[in-house]
Amino acid sequence: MKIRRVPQVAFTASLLFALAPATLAADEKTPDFSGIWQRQSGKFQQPEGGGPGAVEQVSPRADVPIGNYKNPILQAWAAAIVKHNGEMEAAGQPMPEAKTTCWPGSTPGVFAIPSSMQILQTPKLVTLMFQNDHQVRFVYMNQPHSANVKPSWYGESVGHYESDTLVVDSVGIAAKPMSFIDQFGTPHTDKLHVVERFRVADGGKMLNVAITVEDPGAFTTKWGALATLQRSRNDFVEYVCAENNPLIGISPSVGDMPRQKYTAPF
Amino acid sequence: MKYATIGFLTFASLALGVPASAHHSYAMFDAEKTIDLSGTVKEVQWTNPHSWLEFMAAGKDGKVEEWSFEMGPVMGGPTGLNRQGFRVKNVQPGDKLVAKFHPLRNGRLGGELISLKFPDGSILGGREPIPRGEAPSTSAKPLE
Repeated sequence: MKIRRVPQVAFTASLLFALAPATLAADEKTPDFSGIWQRQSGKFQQPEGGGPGAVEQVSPRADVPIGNYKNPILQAWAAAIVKHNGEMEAAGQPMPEAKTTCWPGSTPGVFAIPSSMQILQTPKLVTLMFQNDHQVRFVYMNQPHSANVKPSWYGESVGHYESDTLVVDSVGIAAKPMSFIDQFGTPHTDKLHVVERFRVADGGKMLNVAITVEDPGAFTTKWGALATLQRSRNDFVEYVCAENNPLIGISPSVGDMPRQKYTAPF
Repeated sequence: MKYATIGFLTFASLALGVPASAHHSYAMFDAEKTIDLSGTVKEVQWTNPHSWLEFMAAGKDGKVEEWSFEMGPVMGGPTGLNRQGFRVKNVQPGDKLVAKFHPLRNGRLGGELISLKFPDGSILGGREPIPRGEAPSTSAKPLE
């Protein structure tokens, strides 16, 4: 089936008006992800099944994020960027990447920021809504990826259910100068392929997202991570990163860093 | 936030308690140094996630100038101001307070606000974030 796309804002507005007040409830066979899920930190935990994990923090404080550039999952050019970011942070200059400067957070980077999320489930479309900057990700259900995915900030996500799990497969995530995978500004290329498995756990109190990342242009191996979110009773609040943000004007100072050239046509 | 007299890259950040990772780093603040500064509130900018306190205070030279303290997220999250007891009515222009903060590393007039002390000795802020696993507070009320 051909995937239809409409402008994000128009689609979201029309969808919300068309639906009944509550979310379209999942039927008995579909797992229910309704509610508000709060990501308390940006830390990626080790993958549940073992194996290579995400770049880990080496700075003593979480609010000055410095990643381990020697992590073996990183190809040399990516390690150089993580090292450079860490040096900037240690010198007192926040690294210039998307989440600092209010650009979009795609997957899995969107989970590298504390935020809240809601999941709106309808049979053909699952919409992930994030408090931070009212970002949305669309997951087109039970269909394959397009033959030629045009790279974009959020990429193309398709999904299906496996018992109690929502499986989301994303490709076509454009590699922009400000793109980031994690809290440490780890970069990627447009070959990035991310699989997320969402599952409610701990008696309904937690939402666990098991993430698998492949990018033969940036990483030496497939690696995994676990992002956990807590059920929250706090409604979304308005969150506008660009407002009163002194860091929004900083630009990437990576001119001399070896970056993979991205192939997005725009 | 004021750029004019303070110049480019004047930040203040509020860590009411130690923040978990935020959407931007706090690297520009000197976490090893804590300063207490007496002054007068000029303005509170309640914007989420970057709220600011503009504060008139005398530095080492005795000259009263404007300091900018970043206060971080207004609402939501473990260190949101609302969860530390801040309400709009708590901090008003003209209030004489003592601001405790981590100063900017570049030496400019500003920092990361930790807490505010009132003339009666009461303190707003300065508490640790609510630990993971604890139930969140009831739905965030709108600022009064």
